[in-house]
Amino acid sequence: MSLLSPNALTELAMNLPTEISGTITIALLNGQIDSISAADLENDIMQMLDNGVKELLLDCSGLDYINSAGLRVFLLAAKRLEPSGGQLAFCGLAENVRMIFETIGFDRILTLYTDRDSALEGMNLASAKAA
Amino acid sequence: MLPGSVSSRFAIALHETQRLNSMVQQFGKTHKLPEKTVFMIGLSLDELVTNIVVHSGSRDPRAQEIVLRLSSHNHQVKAEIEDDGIEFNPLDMPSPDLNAPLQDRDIGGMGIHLARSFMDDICYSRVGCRNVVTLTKRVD
Repeated sequence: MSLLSPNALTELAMNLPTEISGTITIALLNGQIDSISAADLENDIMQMLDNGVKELLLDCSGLDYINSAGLRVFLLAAKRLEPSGGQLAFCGLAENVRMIFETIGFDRILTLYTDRDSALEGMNLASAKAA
Repeated sequence: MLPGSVSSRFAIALHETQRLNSMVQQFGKTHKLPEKTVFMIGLSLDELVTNIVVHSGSRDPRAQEIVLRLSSHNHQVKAEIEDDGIEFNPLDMPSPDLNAPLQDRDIGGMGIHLARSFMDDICYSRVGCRNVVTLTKRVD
């Protein structure tokens, strides 16, 4: 006998802690994203997009390492959100993580904010303009 | 920076990149390397070893092991990655076009681009039946 609704199962399958602020979903990235954990990250982010999340903020303030396997997931998510007018933004990048983003040119194609407050303000402003 | 060297063997498995990163961290501490240098070397080795696992672990002759040697002397750190798989030169992979708009950005080639950018020199050679990639990073 299952007592879980499909939605509850979806929530249980998520590894990423998330918060909601208005229309924006905030996911907290922590620790290290490497060639193994990137698979979980991809599942979680794609699941959010499948569930209709259009404005996603990835709070990287707890993230201290990411390799190209994780960067690939960000690129896939951004490519998927752009045509539907969605927003993918990042905030709180530690110095080393920012260095990786800049070296791979992500600062030119993705939206980066210094902290969560400025990210929410910027994203709300962008969605108000688009509306 | 203190002179010295260390070496270790790794299996052809993605989870080994975590042990590899620990080894680089420990080497950095023992030899008093700058934190940023250690981060750049760790990431570059992670990317190159991931490439070997993905590319050489699935094609015959399959690689059986990876040997990593790290050394520091004369204001530089040298890392040598050796595997016994099919001939594979990671430097042949095309670099991503960083000026391309989002939808045209390729999801491949990012790892080798990061390694090339973070290291002062990367060279590849085929020695007998082994691939040898040597990375050099200056330490000021």
